[in-house]
Amino acid sequence: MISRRAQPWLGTLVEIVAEGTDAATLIAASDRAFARIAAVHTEMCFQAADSPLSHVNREAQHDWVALSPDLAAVFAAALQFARASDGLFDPSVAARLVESGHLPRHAGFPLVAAPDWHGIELDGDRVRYTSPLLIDLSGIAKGYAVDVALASLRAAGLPSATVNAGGDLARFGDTATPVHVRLPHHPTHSLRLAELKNGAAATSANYFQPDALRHPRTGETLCANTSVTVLAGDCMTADALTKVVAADPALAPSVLTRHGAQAIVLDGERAMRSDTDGWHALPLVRAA
Amino acid sequence: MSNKSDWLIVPAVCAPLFAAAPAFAVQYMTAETAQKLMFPEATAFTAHPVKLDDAQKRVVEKAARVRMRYPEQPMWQAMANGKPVGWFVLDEVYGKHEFITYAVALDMTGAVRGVEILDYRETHGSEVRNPKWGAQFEGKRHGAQLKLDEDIQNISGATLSCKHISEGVRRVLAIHEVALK
Repeated sequence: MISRRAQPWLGTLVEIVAEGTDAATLIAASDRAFARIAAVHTEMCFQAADSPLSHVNREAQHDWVALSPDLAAVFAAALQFARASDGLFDPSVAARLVESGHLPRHAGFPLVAAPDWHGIELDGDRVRYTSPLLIDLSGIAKGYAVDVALASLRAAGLPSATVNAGGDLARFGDTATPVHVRLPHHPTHSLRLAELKNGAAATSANYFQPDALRHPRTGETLCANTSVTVLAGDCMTADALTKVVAADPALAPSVLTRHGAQAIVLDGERAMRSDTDGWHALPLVRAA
Repeated sequence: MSNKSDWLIVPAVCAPLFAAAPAFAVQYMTAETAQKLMFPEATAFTAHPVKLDDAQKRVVEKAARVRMRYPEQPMWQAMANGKPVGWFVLDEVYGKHEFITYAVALDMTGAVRGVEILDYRETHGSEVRNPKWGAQFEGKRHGAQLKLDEDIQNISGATLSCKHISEGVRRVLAIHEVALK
């Protein structure tokens, strides 16, 4: 039997679809998976003034701050993606979104003159900022939450499961299932884009919140009328790489290849697919 | 970090750009299933619909910072062996293109025990270009269970709106404060 549930977390709806033999096992397994998502949500919510992440953003410019295992893992991954993409993925871009009013400025938050991820110093399970910074992990926290929720479903011994957090999705199972992506110019319509068996897909777009994606260096708005979908082995990687593709499509294919990932960019006219040697048009047929 | 994965790009992208899939709609569970899921210890659910008077409605709207469309709210008191253990509140919210039915479970102190989505439906609104999709959708909107392999699932790309649910939960909490304490 198949159980489908959805709960509001991470600023979106999180759906868990799980396959198993009896209802009680499925409910218990999805309860545990939702609890993992809730924990990541609580830890990494930039919007909540009292979240552990907001505590880091207030204190890390002054001294070392201890991190939970989840926060330490996501900080480490954020630094790794920033390095691997030479700053095209940049968790310090939040300061710009605070300036533009897309993210709140909580009491005690520093004024950030020059956002730069190099100011993050991570030492195992503690972190400090060498200059005033505001770090938002939401660029990968959603992907991380999906991965840990899926890991808990796998640990429950289920034959297949899918976790979809508002477009960041990952699954495991023996049969491939279709993944759909919204059309950037008609977001209530969707297109079947890929088949996924074991792996992840993440999409970044500005459909419902214009101007929310910004270039880390120039601050310009990204993804106007386009969407970026990345297919990768895990959801955090897919999530991070959508930002890299949005920020610099020309450089992205090499970064994608290094991570064993592939991207599809849709706009109102075309679909482009990344390959090791660059971008290729995917055939699209306009309805008569 | 990523091992060899089993995803593959299918030439499905050859599908017409506008003749895309029908609107997304899922029935996750019935209200009855949600009651049992959210209050596994309960032995009975007593209907306890709340009808606010004008003054209460104004207090709720002010506290929750949202308008109340209807002064009535379907609620049940969850009972375990004759003792009240919490409240089960059925609610719905809608935006420009979506309609969401969901349940909120409150414990006896009024704290949220959980939120579960019952029904999520997106409409194309004025964007429907092919009347056939509209017809497909109409047949499903009144709760027909969607089949996994024929219907839209696994949409990669933001959910339309979670904001309305947050507002709805705020309103439910304000109603509890005004009418159930």
